[in-house]
Amino acid sequence: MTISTAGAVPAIVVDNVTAGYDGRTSVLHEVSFAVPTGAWWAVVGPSGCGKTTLLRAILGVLRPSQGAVRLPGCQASRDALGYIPQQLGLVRNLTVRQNALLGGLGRLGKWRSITGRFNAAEVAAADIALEAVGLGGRGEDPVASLSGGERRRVAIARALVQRPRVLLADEFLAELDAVTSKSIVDVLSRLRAETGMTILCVEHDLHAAAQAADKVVVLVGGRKVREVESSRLDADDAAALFRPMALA
Amino acid sequence: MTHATIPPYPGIRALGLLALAAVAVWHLGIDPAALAQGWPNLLKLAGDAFPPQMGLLPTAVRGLAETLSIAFLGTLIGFVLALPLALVASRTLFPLWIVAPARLLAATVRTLPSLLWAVLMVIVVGFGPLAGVLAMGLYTTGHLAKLAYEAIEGLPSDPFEALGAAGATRIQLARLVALPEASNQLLSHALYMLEYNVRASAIVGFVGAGGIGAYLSRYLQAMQYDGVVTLLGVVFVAIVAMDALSLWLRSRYLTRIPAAV
Repeated sequence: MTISTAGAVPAIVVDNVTAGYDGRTSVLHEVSFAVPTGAWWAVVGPSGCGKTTLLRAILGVLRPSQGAVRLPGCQASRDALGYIPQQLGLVRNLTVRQNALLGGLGRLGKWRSITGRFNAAEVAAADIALEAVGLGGRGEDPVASLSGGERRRVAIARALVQRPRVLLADEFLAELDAVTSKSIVDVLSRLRAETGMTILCVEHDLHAAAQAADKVVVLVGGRKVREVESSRLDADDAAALFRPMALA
Repeated sequence: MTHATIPPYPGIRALGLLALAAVAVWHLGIDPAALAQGWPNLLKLAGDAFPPQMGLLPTAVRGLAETLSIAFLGTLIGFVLALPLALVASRTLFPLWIVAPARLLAATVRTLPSLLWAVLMVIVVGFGPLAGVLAMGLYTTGHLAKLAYEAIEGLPSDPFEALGAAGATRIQLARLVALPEASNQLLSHALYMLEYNVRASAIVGFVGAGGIGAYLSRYLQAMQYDGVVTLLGVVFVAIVAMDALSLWLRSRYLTRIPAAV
């Protein structure tokens, strides 16, 4: 099956992708979907269904054995793609502000990459980003002293500073209480509205994903079993997700 | 089951080790009787060594200052050279075709112990502290580079993945992720090397590379054991003081290592 990109301009095109790790066994089987620019989609599935493999294929770390991944808007600059790994990717020995500043690496010249010096305008931009995620005045705090929810906010602030066209996030809403989860989704939604960026997140929790995303792709056993508007998710989707777990 | 044993289980392997030790003793032709004959010599040594030559103290302190300077400069040079080498030798940051030669270079420099480097440097630049500084610097480079690239490779990979995907260059990842993230370990390893170098630089004087070792060698050859004891006493105090300083520096700067996030 080949993906049709008619209509809305896609930001992420996953076209008939089969991918695995040792060249023989495949984790993903002929997965296709296209995320329109400015949309927020979630890929949902039980553990081991190939979510992270899919993310790695989109990131370009893993080459598909069949099919292709295209990120049409991301060739313009090297910082057009943002990625928040499951462990968030924060530099643990740095402060909250220093971590937010790292979002601006794509605009940092060679010399300043060595001196590690950011100018007043960049520091001000980082502080505005921290303010936007509710961490105003916390810039000097060591990242290690923050709670799990606060650290996710730092990762979002870093993305705010980076302003990527496409943001990929791995299990971004996992292990959060409902209140924190909602506030983080709100912050990211605001960022998306302001910048028009496209978000693709990978979650194992169907409810968390539905709360955040416009559309959900359900992945089971490495195959796409459903692609559905979040508002139209039903009991069958939940059943599709939980059946493999029940069998295990 | 009637009994249970907690590992390790020495058993038959311990016997094997003992047998190997016996072979080594036989091979070296060690005569246990020589140990008994050594007692009178030990007593004579003790008699000659005490009281220590207190008049030698100013000379000993001067030699020690030279030794400490050699150790400090050698560690500093080694640290400055080891850092870029370690970054280039980290698989986290660079592909294998860059990593492999960098590691080979570090391993080659590390192969010779500091004493043999000192012999080589004495041949190259002549007798004196410069040979000691260069020897310490070279050995430290090889050793510290290995410790540092292992520290960098042991760092969590997620910041490298996140910022690498966001377009960070290798230089940026090295300077803005690897160095700050590994800084506590790097400082700890540098302190360890300084402690090691203070000990080692007391020895390099034996081959003419400067420091208190030169005096030790001279007094040993002249069999003036009261002088040797004075010099050894000063080295002992210096090493204990160095360890205490290192401990203090660690507690002052390295105990704030944040728990894993």
